Amino acid sequence: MIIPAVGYVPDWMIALPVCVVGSLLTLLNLKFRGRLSRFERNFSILGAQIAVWFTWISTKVRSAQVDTLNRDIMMMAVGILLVFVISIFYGGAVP
Amino acid sequence: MLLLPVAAAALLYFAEFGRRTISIVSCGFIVLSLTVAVRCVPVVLESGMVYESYPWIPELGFNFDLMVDGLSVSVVFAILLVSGAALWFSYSYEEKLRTFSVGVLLFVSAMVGVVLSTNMFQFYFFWEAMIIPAYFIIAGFGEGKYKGMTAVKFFVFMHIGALLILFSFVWVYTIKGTAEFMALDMVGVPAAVPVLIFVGFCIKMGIFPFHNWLPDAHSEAPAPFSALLSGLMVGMGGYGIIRVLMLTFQLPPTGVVLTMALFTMLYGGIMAMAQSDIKRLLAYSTISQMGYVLLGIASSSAVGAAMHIFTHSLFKSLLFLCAGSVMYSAGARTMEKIGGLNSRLPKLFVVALVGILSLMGLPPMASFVSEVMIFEAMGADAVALLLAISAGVVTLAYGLVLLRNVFFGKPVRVKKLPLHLWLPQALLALVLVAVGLFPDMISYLMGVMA
Repeated sequence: MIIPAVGYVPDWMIALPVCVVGSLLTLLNLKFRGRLSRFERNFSILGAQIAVWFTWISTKVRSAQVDTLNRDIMMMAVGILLVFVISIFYGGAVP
Repeated sequence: MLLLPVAAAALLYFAEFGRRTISIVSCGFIVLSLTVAVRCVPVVLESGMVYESYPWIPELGFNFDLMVDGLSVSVVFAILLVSGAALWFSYSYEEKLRTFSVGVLLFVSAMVGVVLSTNMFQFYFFWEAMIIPAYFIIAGFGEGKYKGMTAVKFFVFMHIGALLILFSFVWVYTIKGTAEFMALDMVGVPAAVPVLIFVGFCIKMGIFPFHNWLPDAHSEAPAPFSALLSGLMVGMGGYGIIRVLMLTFQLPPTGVVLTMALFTMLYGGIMAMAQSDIKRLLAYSTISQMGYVLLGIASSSAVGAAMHIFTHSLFKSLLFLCAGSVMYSAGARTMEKIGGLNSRLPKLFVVALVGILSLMGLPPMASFVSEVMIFEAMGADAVALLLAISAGVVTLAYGLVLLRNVFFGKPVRVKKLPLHLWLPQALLALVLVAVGLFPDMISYLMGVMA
């Protein structure tokens, strides 16, 4: 990426709340399904989960902190699984 | 600029006017407000800004200050142009015109207040004031069967963002002892503060993964208000990032912001391609276009981002008004039930074509200039540039899908489009072409940032 991760705010500090708040809002979206189609719901939930965790991991890769990468991939897997399970029981959105 | 829409709202609320007078009063006060904004321009160009100060809460040392610089006056132009067009359009569109106009005028005033604010708490006050009329308009005037739920969803999501911003503002105030934007910097401020502010503004902009509220709210709201939500309100998030994070805290953007911008551009575009409901397609397109604004911010191009906020507000409002016209004439909003409108409604076709070409970012439309400014600022990162151009291709694709499915093919039966519905769209189309041909008149003004 062209913009170097410099300045007062490091990449991980932006990625963390993006992941956490993004995941929470994605779950909240199940409460207010409204006009959302099945495709939109599934894409929104799983796509968002994968993307936010991908954003988090990409910060590690770019800043060469690969020593903690395995732990993060585990976190991503657990995070996606958790949202998947909640989606089935809470929203019935996942086929 | 700030008080005239409020005065119009009060007048309409307390007086018993007919439909024509309601329309004249609401549009007339917007034109007056626009005149005040235009009169500020020579002073801004000469001395950099116009500043007014009134006592507000003396115990806490807060003044009610209003500042007009090049950036804010340009955004105010967009707010007043679009809201004037939307109010004009409502004359033949909304049944309960009086209540609707009062809500819209209060909403417009709150947006102008956000743009002119000079301290954090005043900014937050107007930020909240923007949400309340919007909630009532979506709940009361919405066009779908889910309008009640959508209004609550909108309210909840907006307040999560607003509370993050309020929390950060109070945190900064306790550290720095001042709420004035001009007196603030990052010295001694924890890094978490700008991050929370950023997330709060991103929720308003509908940036991925905070976008969930946007397709529902923008497709369920009545068409003239969708034009304001999609054209203006989401842009306020971008304006907030520029004003608070770029100009006040002077933070350099990081890679994550760029990643979010590129992902949002592609995600919004791909989701737009999958829609058959025209308003929902436009709503997803707004998500994608806010990705462009964030890309400008990630590339440190405040003027490019602000220019795209300006141009997007014009063409997206135009397209939502076109969608309203299609719903009025054809009585449908899904593309399967519409077609061949170029022969049945040729005047609508012309203005919609200007809107769709602007959406695609083609010359000589104004959005071409703003997109070029953003891409130019990106530099030579091949991967980022490739992804950004891919998002442009996706935009082209869903723009063409919209054009083909609505305006070509087998013509459907339609009713005549009143002139009151078409003229405001023609006005916006004219401005889009004029700014596209003479972009300097806005981009130069935007560069005068305090």
